[in-house]
Amino acid sequence: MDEVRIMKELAAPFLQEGSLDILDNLYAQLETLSGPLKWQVDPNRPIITRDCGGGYERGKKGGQKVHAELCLIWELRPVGRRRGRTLQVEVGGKASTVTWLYLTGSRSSKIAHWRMELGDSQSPGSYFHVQIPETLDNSHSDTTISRSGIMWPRWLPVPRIPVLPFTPMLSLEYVLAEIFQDEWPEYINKRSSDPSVGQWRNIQMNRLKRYFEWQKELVDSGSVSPLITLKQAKPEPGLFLN
Amino acid sequence: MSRPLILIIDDEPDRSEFIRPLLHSHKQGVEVEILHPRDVKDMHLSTASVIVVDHYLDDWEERDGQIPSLRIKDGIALAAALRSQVSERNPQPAIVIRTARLEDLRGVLPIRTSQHLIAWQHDVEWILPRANLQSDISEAERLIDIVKAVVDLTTLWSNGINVNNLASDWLGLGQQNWVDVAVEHVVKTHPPVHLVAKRTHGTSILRWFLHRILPYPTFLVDEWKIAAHLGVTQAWLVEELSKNSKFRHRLDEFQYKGAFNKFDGRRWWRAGLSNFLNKMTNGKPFDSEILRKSIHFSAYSSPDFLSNFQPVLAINPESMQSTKIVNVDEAVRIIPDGWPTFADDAWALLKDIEEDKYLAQLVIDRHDLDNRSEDRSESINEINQQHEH
Repeated sequence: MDEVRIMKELAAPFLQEGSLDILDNLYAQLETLSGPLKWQVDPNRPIITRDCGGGYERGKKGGQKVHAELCLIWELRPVGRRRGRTLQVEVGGKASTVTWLYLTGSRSSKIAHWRMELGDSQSPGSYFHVQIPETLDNSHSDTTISRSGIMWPRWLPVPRIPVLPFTPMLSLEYVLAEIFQDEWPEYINKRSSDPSVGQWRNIQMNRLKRYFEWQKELVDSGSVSPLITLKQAKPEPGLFLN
Repeated sequence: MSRPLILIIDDEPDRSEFIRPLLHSHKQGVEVEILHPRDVKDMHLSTASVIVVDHYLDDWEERDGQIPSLRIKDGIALAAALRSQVSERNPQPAIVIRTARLEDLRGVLPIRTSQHLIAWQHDVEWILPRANLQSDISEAERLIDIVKAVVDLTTLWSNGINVNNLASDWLGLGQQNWVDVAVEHVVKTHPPVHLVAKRTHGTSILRWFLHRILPYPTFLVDEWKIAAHLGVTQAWLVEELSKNSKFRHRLDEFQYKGAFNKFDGRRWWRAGLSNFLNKMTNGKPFDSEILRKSIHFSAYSSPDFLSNFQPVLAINPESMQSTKIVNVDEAVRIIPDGWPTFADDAWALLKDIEEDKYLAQLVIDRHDLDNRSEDRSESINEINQQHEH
C-alpha cells in the first residue's frame, strides 16, 4: 500500500491525469482487502505515461514520441487477520504486470511489450522473470523466421528471463526510468530529502537486500550449476516480510 | 509613502510605552500609536497595518453596566470585534494578541511554541508573549517582522498574486537550479492565493505561513531536520553555523531569506537541501560514508556524527517540537492536533509514549505500537538473559 501511495506522489508529473485515479483505486482495493482479490488494472483502462519526448535515449535524442501503458493482475489472498494498517498477503495465482510502448498519437502503433511475472509452484523458473509475448515481425532478415512471421510464439514459454523482484509499482518505476532516461533519475535526485523519496528508497532497498542475500545463499549452496540453482529456486514464503 | 502604522491597544497604555522607541528606531520605519480601547477611532482602524491587542483589559470602566451584547470581556473578544470592522478593508491589517500569561490562553496545550495553535484557535494572526524570555528575538522585532510581511504582501497583492510570485517575491526564492522543485513543494502546501486570499485581501497568506508552514517541516526545514539528513548532532551543526567555513557557506546558499526568516529560528529550503546533498555526494545522497567525508573536509570543526542509521525526528513531549533525533525503530508515528497532512510525519519515542498519556493518544496505528513494544520487550529480555549468563 505504501508503494502505491508513494509512487502516485512521485510519478504524478510523468503520468496522464486519469492514471492517478487508477492508482487511487489500486490503493483502495488493498485497503479493503479481506479475502481473495484480483488486484488489477484493466487493459482497457491502463496506467498511461505522458509522451517521453524522445527521452528513451540519453539527452532526449530519441527521434520518436513514445509513451507507455501498464496494466496488471495479481491474485492475492490475505494471510491471517489485518492488524491495524498491516495485513500480510500472498500471491495465490497469477502475478503479471504488462507494459506496452506506443508511438504517441496513435494507440494502434504498439511498438513493444513485455510481461513481468512471478512463476507458480510448477514453473521451471526463473521465479521472477520477464517474458516477451507473441508479436508479429516482418523485419527480420533470416528467411526461416520471416516465413513464419511470428516472433516469440505463444506456444513457446521460454525464455523466462530472470529479473529482480518486480512489484507492479517497481515495474512502473522501471518503465519510467527506461523511457525518461535522464529525466526520471534527475527528478528523483532533486527530491532526495523529500520524505516520499526516502520511504520509496527504504522499501526497495530492504526488499532488494533480502533478494540478493537469498541469491547469494543459493550461489554458495555448493550445487554443480549455480545457474540452474538460481533458475529453479523459489523463495520461501515470508522472504520479503518483516 | 507613509510609514506603516502599528496600533497597540492596552488598558494601561503607559505600560507599553517602552516599545515605542524600539519600534521607531528600527530601520523598517514604522509609526506607533499606543491607545486605551476607549480612545481607538475609526481612522486608526482604517490605517493600521498591524493591530496589537492586550489580552487582559481590566482597566476599562466604560464596559461596566453595558448590556451583554456590548460587553467586551477581554482582548480576544475585542480582537474579534475589531476584525469584523476591518474585514472590508483592502488591505486588511494583521491582528495580534499580546499576553503576559500565555498559559491562560493555551488551555491544555504545552507552553512553548504553541502560539500558532492558540492564534489559530482565537482567529488572530499571532499571539505575542509580553515577556518572551525563552526567545532570542525581542517583542519589537517580531512586530516589525509582521509589519514588514503585511506591507510586502500588500504590494504583491495589489499587483496580482500567484504561486510563482509568492515564492519569488514574498518567500524570497531566487533563481537557483532547484527553484522548480521548491515551487512544487510550495504548491503542495496549498497557499491560499486564489479565492480565500481574495476574500481576505491577502491576510490568509499570513496565517497560512505562520500557522501551517513555519511551525512544521514542509518546504522549509529547520536545523534539526538538516542535522538528521546530514547525520550530525544538532548541537554541532548550530556551532558550525557560527563559523566561517566552506560547509557553512554551502548551507547559506539555500537558507531561507523571505518573510519571517528570523521569526522562529532559521529555516532552509528543502529543495536546496536535496541539491546540497546531491552535490556533496556526487549524486549519492544516501551514501553516509561519502557524505561524512565531504562534511569533514569542508567543516570548520571535527563533525560530531550521529550513530543513527535511519534517523527520524521525535517530538519532545515538553515543547511538542521535533527536537530529538532518534532511530526509526525506537519511534512510532503520531498525529499531533492540527498537524498538516502535507508536513513530514511526526514521530514520538516509544519510551515517551509509555510515560505520557497525551502522546499515547496521538499514535496513528495502535497495532504498530503494540508490535514495536513487543520487539522492545523481546530485546530487553534478551539483554537481561545475557546479563544473567
